[in-house]
Amino acid sequence: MNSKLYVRMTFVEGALIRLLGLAGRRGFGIAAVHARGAEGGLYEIMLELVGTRSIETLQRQIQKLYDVDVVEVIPDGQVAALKFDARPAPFVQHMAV
Amino acid sequence: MKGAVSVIRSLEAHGVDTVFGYPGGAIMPVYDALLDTNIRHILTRHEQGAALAAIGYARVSKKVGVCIATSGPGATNLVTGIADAFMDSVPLVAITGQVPSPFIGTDAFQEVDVLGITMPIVKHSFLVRRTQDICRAMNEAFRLAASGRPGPVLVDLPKDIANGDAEFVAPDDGGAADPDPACDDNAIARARELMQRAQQPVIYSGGGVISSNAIREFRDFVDATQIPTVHTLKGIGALAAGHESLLGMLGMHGLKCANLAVQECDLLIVVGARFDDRVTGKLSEFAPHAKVVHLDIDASEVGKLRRAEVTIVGDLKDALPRLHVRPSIDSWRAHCEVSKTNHAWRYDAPTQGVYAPRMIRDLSLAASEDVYVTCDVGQHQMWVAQHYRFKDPRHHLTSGGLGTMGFGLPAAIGAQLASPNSTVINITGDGSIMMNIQELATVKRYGLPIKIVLFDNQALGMVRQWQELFNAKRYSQVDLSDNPDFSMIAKAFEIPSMRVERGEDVPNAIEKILNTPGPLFVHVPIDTAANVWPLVPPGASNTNMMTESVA
Repeated sequence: MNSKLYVRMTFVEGALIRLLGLAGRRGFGIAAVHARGAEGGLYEIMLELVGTRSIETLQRQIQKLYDVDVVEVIPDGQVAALKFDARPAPFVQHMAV
Repeated sequence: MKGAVSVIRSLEAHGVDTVFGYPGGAIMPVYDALLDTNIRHILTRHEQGAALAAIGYARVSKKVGVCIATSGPGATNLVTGIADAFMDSVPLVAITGQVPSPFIGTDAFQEVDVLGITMPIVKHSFLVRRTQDICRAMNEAFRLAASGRPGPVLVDLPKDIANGDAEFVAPDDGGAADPDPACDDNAIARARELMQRAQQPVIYSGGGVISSNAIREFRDFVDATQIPTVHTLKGIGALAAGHESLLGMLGMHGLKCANLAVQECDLLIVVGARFDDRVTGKLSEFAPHAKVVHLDIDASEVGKLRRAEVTIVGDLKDALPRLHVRPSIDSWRAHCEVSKTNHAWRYDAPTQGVYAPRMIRDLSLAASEDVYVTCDVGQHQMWVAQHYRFKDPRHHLTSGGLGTMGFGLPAAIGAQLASPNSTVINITGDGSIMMNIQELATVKRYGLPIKIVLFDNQALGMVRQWQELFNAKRYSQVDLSDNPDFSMIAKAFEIPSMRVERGEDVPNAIEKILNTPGPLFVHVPIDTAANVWPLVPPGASNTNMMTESVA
């Protein structure tokens, strides 16, 4: 079953790997990733996932990640309303605390 | 001040008095700074021992445990301990040295990407790239480790950052953990309604009761509701052994009366537990008639494996006092009581040698409530869980989630240092003790009066048991009959030892265990064929418990 998640997170070293690694470890295949920088040093990510487990449980697991600000399940049929910033994301090598 | 000094100042600011570790090249600046502090550093003989000792210290002291290692192999040797803390929700800060920043990513000597390696097993991790971030990373690490569902946090510190100039930044609020959220009023009301209507309710409690320091609230809750109660391995002692509402441990090696009550119940109130597979057996047949009320601080655990009719996410200390509902369940209580009597443990096994369950039971009856027991993993671990009568949950230290052989001795070291006037007993097996046997040197170095009780069946007993029962007795790599002479090993570390071979020698051994002032190594040979009963076969329903007579 395919699911879509919208994630907004701080763009710090390792953040994207944490997000993708968590989705994979929890039993979801990653069909697609769309990611761009947003305002305030944040990153907007659209994940298209394949899996049979509860997407709501994965949502709650992702919400626990330190760098994640928002994670939402996008209902079936709804087009994601990401307004990608045309600029490349500002990569922050040092930690953000 | 140097960055490494700011690390030490941060530890002091968070009230750390004891750390466990092992030095090496990349972490040398921190070890140099340690010379100028009152923080006690315990030098273990392996980094895994440091991490597991820090866990033992944290679980007894209720503080955040701290372990320190160098880069590369030092860091990877911490990994099992970090994973153990993650699986058992133990607050732990692991500090690792890292190669200097310009060398990161060049396959430098003793370089390993410990941040990447540990990502799945930490609450969070920091690779500190700027000296000015050291204290903020440390402050966040301690806050995260202790907040909500506790767990491990890694701080990876490149050597050039540790040697750079830094300013100390004090933690906000004195480094306190975040307050736990209160629970939803509507959820509480719905839970009360289900409890009021229940005819056969059961409380299923886990390690969350202990992690949340809600032991008093939990005991009040059970007494107020009078609902029959079962617990997980990590929940042992939250309700004192012998409590009238306690049916015992459920799951693979649980008491039959506990498993049957859950299978028959119409309402399961889950308190700080997570439907672990060793608890549920075949999940689809677990508590098949029950509605579920699930209380947990971790929202991601609720509904993960079993749908709950009511979910209560938040602080157990807030929720439990608001659930004092006493349903009319006299006949159900009477039914459970009869089952408890019918399936009580028996200690009349005909044996000339030592019957481990009976020795463990007798030891617990003779011991004061202040005794701490640490275990390793395997048959002896289950015998302790089944037969030691714990009165307080923090006095039982076992590796529940990860099942770490080698946990017991380092954990005992941490426990003894956290509670120096208590008796600490490591009950272990001949497979497990060899996993961290080097820590006998730590026992000797610090003069720790730890008692080690080794049940030696000259085999990897639990694996052997499964091969006997489920692999047609095709024994594969479980023979340990070439074990070393354990008395000589103890002697090499200047630890007195004794051997207990006959059942009639057990009372004297127990007296020695409880009254010998210093360390003691008690070697107890037992029958290789002795198994742990009862047993739910893997993948089976908890209704189908195997007993010795069936096998």
